Amino acid sequence: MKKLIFFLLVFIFNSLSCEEGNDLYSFNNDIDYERFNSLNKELRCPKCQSSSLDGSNSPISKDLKNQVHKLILEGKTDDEIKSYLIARYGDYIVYEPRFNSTTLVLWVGPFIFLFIVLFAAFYLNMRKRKDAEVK
Amino acid sequence: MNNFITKLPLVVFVILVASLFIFLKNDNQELNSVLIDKEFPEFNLSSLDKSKVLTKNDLEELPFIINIWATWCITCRVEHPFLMELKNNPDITVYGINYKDDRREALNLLDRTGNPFKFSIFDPEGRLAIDLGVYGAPETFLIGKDGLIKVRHTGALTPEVWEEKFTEYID
Repeated sequence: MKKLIFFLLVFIFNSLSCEEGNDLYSFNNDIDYERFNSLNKELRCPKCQSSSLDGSNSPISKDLKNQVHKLILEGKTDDEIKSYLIARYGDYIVYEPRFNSTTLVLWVGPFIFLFIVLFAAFYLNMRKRKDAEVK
Repeated sequence: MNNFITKLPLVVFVILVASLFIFLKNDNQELNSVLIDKEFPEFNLSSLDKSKVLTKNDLEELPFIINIWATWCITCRVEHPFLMELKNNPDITVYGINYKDDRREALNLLDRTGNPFKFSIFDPEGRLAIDLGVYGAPETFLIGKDGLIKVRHTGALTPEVWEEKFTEYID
């Protein structure tokens, strides 16, 4: 029982300390707070390459979080905020790449590969059958 | 035709491996700036020596380079001697952005080691830096004779980098 209470306490304090970071930012309503949190998860830290703004404590991530906070308070939409950052840091800054000429291969490539494979499989299958018929 | 179809998977595979190899060699550390061939962003910040409020109009001597530096930035000290050298180059003007720094310490450092900049813009919150897509120091931008951003370099500015990336935009 003691152990259980200990673990519960550890768990509670842990979750508290995780929340702490974003509570430094105040918002007009809960929706904005949620938007802030989800935007920070979708945006990438430009310095640390494979971490989101949310998961990074580097100075530049803090600055960008401050900027996102400011833009939310100014009433900007999620799309406007992402465009704002892409205009400065490039497509790199968002985890989900936008659909444009440079990301075309990324989006369409897999379907082209699938098509090629299906086509080849279909063709080979057909030929096998024909060979079998001839024999 | 028959032959081609049966070899298609092999061809695709070889192309895939080749392109993966090429992208592996591509150094991703340096992000391409989306600001190439764009205007320098507007700003309104005080000069490092507090003598005046600076705007984009104060960056008037084209072409110029603008260097993002700070006292806490070690690599900035590596490139400092080369910036001092560039100061004496009549074909280019050198401006600075003092990035997220302490004003007094920054002025002290310039006093001690020499000031390569015509002036430094004091940007303690990194506001202008965000507009430039800066994510660390040092970074150096070159603004060409047409007033557009031509080069963005992250990391120390060395004579080799200068030759390779910058000189083509200067007479």
